[in-house]
Amino acid sequence: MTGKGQVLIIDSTGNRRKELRELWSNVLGYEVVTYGDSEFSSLSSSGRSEILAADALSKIQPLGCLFHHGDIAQYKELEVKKVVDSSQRVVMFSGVGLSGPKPEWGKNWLWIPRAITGRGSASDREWRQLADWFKAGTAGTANARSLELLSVKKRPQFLIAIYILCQGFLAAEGMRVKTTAVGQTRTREWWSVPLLKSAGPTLVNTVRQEWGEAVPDPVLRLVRWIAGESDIEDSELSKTVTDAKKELECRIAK
Amino acid sequence: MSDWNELRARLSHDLIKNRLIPATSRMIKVVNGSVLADPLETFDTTVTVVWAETNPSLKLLFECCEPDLTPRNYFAVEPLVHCPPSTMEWLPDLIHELWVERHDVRGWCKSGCALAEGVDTAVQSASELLKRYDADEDKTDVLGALLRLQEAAIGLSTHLSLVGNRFMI
Repeated sequence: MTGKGQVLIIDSTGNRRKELRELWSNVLGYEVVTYGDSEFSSLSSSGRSEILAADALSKIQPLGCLFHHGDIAQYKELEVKKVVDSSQRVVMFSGVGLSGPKPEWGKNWLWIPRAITGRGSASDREWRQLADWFKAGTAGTANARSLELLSVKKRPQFLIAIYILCQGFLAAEGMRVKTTAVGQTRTREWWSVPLLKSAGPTLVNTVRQEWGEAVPDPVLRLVRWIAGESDIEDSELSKTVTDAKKELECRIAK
Repeated sequence: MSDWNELRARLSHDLIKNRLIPATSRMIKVVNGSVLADPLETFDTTVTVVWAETNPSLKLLFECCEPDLTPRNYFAVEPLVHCPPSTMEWLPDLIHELWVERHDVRGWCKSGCALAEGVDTAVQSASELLKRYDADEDKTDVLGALLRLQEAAIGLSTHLSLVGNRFMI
């Protein structure tokens, strides 16, 4: 065994186990112990997979364990239970995402809400955060749910609301009979009343926070107009709303 | 994750994908003779039990899909709860109708109910055949019934996985 931190990966899905083993070994610098469905193995110094003998197994003390929920039945095996329980932290994952803790899990086990089908299911930065958190051990100050990979993302309420208003505006444009209410959709007030009552003067910042990266121009232009920070020519409003709706649709579906 | 989506994920992943489908595969091995176990007892304690737990929840899932997921619900919370009455008169209903049409929500629920009925029929049919099953006789009927059950369960699982964030707005 080397001086590197150890991570244990329990996953009977061969391709995903291999991808995760390479990620944790080659990119994140861990000594990786894996368990498929019958035996523990680790990589030798030459990079070959070796089955761990009982005496080597007794020395394993993983900093963290990544445990595929579909293989939870393995936890009933005494040998597996012993190694998992010796891990400082256990993080459950699955190929379709997990919604919360299950009764058969150990106490204080955490879970990845999103689907994990391989290395590409999270960015290297997100994996790195998890790896650092494992290394920090019990002294680590990071709250587990502040790690991006473990966080349960809130629905972007304001983006959804603006998307709904865009839909209302465009549907109203297509209506043959224009009622007074429908005619109001072209006024700034129609948009701003609900949004500014909730967000107040922070609307633009709130949208920026919910978006999470550079807000596309049509969305930013529309939001700044709603907030009263800029103008949009009446002739440009329809195009701006159409473009903003497209951008919002893609963002919300992520 | 909303309560509805949590129920969907639990049914799709925990019960159908990880329990019902493997239990059906195991039953095929039992009937084939590659796994030694009592066929009817194994079927009752694995397939029947899991399906009895899954089927009522599936009905609830399809019934609640439209009321639970409709974007009309966003008008009951911030920020759209502040829309004036003149907007509330038409926008929530319009948004709901657009959503139902865009995602074919009713079609998805109807197909889901039909797939669940298909699994139910396949479970009953396999159970009946297993009650009369004699290991020394021809296994074709029983194996056929189990394969139909496996296929129906995979179809239902796939159908449930088609919904991700797609339905959310």
